[in-house]
Amino acid sequence: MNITRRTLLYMAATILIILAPAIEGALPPTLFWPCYVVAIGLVVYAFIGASGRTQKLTLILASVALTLTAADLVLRFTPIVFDELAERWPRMPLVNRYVPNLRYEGRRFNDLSRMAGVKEWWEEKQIS
Amino acid sequence: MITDAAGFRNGSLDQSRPLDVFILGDSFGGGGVSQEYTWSSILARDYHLNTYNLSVPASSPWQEYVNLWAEKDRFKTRAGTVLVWQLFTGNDLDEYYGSMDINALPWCGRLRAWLNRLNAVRARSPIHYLMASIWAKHDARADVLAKDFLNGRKLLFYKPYTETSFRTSEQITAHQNYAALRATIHAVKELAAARGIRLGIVLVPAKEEVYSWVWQNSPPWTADSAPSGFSVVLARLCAEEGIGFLDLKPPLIKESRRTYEETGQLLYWYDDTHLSTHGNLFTATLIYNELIR
Repeated sequence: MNITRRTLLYMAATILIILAPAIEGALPPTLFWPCYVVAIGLVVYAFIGASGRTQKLTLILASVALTLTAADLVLRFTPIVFDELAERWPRMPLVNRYVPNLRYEGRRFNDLSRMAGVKEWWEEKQIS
Repeated sequence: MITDAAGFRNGSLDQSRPLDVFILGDSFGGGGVSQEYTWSSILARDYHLNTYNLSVPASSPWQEYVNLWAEKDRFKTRAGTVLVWQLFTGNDLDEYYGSMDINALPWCGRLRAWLNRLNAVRARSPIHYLMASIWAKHDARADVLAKDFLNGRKLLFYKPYTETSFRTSEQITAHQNYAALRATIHAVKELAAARGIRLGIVLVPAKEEVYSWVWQNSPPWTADSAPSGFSVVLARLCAEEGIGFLDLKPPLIKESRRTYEETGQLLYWYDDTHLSTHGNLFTATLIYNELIR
């Protein structure tokens, strides 16, 4: 098969789409690297081998990757992940610091009831 | 709740005069309360002290030492400035301890720090969080103990602290992190002494100690006010190093009954491991009288 520059460009773009959940953080490569290896193999085969079935599978994989990434980006605006007040200090990630320049008002300091997941045990306290 | 540009829980700092007090510690030092009721704010407001809070949640004594080391040259101090270092019975021995050679730590340059920030954003992925929750090997709900308090309200306890806070002094000295804790205390003392700062250690007991009679189903107000094994060992280390030491357990146990009978309030939150507003107000006075004045 004749591999043109355009084929290589499309292949790179498809690989980038497949890797989007890894780049964005939804499916971290530390856990999902085997899936990425297989998916990239399929993409390469689809473009170089030009098998119709593999090309369809690549299209499905790219759609799933894009959907997952988009969904994760949208869900970041919801309170699914608890908003931590402290974080790893970027200069020395072995220690924690509060999020800098924070101005927070709301419900906090209910670690046990949050862990238990029982709403009736929540103690109402407004933190400012 | 306010934090400064360096990532510590402070409002405005009076830089025209040297600091009177540093507070170093974990979430207890940071305060599980509104800004006006943190130890740092109470000491500044009620005792007119120039204070700075270096406490950060989820920090081990070693991590607190590293934060202190990193910030040591940023402040104006005077002879007699006090460093109040808060330690916690519940988990301070079990947390992370790293190398005492500060230069051997993985300090990051600008680019690496920027990448760390980016990775922190990536790590907050909701899909990943949901998957991790589903696949979690340990069910966090099993760590919570709910007991009825005298007024019928649920008082929650953290099960691991019902064990770690009740270790004997022999168990403490035999712990794998004991040598590291000891080295960290020595290093903090050295760091403070080199700047003419007086160090005092305040030990916060776990709620599971102060209200032990609740989860142990014992008669009300019968918690044992004898110092914990951790406290006994710390008192010994502090005596060796010439460091002031305050164990809050006996006074908190005594005060817990008085506060409840007079105001109906608890010194810890019902649904949290931390000291409540009442607890912080009471202990700030003790810290001032025993370690600062």
